[in-house]
Amino acid sequence: MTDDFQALQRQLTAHLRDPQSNPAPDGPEDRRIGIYRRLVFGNVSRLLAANFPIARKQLGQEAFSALIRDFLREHRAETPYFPRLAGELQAWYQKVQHRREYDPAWLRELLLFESEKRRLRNCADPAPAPEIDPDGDVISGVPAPSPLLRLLTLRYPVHKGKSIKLDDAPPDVPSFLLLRRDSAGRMRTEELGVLSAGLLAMILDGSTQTGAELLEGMMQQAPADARPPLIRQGKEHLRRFRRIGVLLGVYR
Amino acid sequence: MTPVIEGISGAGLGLRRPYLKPFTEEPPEEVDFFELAPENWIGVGGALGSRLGFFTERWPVIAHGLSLSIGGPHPLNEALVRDVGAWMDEYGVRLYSEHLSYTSDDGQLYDLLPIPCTAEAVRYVAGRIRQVQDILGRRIAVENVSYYASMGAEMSDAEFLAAVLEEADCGLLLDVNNVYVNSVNHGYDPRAFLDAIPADRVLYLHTAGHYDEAPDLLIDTHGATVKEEVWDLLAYAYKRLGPRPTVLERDFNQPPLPELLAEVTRIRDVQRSCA
Repeated sequence: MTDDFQALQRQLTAHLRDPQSNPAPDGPEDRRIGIYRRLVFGNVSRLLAANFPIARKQLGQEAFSALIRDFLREHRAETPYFPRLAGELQAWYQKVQHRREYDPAWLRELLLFESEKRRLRNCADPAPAPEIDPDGDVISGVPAPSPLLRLLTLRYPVHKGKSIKLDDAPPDVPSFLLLRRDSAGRMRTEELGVLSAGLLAMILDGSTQTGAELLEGMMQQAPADARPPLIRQGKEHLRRFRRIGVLLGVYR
Repeated sequence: MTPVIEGISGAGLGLRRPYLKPFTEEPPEEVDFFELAPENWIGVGGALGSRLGFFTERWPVIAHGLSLSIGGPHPLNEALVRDVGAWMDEYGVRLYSEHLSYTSDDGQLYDLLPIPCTAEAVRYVAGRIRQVQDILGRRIAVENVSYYASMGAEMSDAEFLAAVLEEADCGLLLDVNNVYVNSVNHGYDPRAFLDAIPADRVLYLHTAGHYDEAPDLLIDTHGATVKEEVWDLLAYAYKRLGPRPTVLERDFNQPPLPELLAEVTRIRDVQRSCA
């Protein structure tokens, strides 16, 4: 019966996902089933450690392993594609509501940062965009952003996690982090100031205003005498974004 | 009659990430063709994706899948099969092979798990292989996998394999290291297994290194050099089948490239000695 052999298969995977709660199929010696326990857990944790090197380092081996155990037990990964495995961990973790003992306050943001980095590095090259004029002026035209970037507002400086120990208490101010893949395919990470981050956020939201209109709008709240220098700075930010490929030009 | 994969002959190598850069700088003459996993490449752009063309333009390529879960209890991932087909067309890939195993329940586990050797499983798996071949409009090859635990078997693994190949009317990717590993793990004569293989279905072969966990338990790690017993078994297979195309798989503990390529060369030497 189909049911019989598939029941055995499901019993084995249930056991491999959660050996504590689900018994292995009857018959094989435990040391033989144990090889599968080791292979599945070892393979998934090795792949994810390579995708989340900062999380692996900040959490330490034991907590990172606990994270992978929970991932295997609770999540049903869909992608057959290995470069998208990081996105599976990230998608699962964003849905997890409760804190776990191994779960520091910065972990959510760190997993987002590392999975976005991985996604942008590997994602397919964008199709040509005939609706964008690369020679258009980003001040007088409507700026068109590159699809190969992500702007993150981070409470915790998780992007510095390679060199500093992350702390559960966040700094007083958030950081605005621009992640992008440049035209040579290299990943670049850059912290933005409030003005440039605010501008870029509106552009990424799909604003249909010109660069100049965006700046005017942002300056409504500023004192009159502060506006001209801020607008000048804002224009410089837009032109620089165009030079380094954050903006691809303007919409025709 | 010896089956032929167009453009594929001699000694191949499974392409892995650490080789991309050195092989791009110095293309290895020892390698007649490459085998690569579509699940590592489909939908990948950027610096990594741009390297693929270098290989597909210079060598014939076989796609060796990892995640199709051909024996899995969940509905077949037809979207993956279609993606693989489109990707093969785009890069001129010659053949798609997959493992006779399952890798998922209602989610992926990304490892090769054993299918119980039952008559019902033969029908089920063969039906799914046919489904894949129908979608692709071409014949695929399935690989005999290493397995460590036997569950619910009604027949031997050799009988199971032969029955699936016959009912699915598909090719066989014969992994001689897996034959050796299984012969130790499950206590049978590896040469008898090879004698029972339907020779006209063998499209190409695999060889690899394994790890000795215990005298009666070997693990197919792809993390060591090919053992002498497996070289002997490869020669035995060639004597029966003729020297068919063969891929070296090496996934872990990568040796310096000259050592790796010397193993590829040794495949060709064994092929010549058995011609």
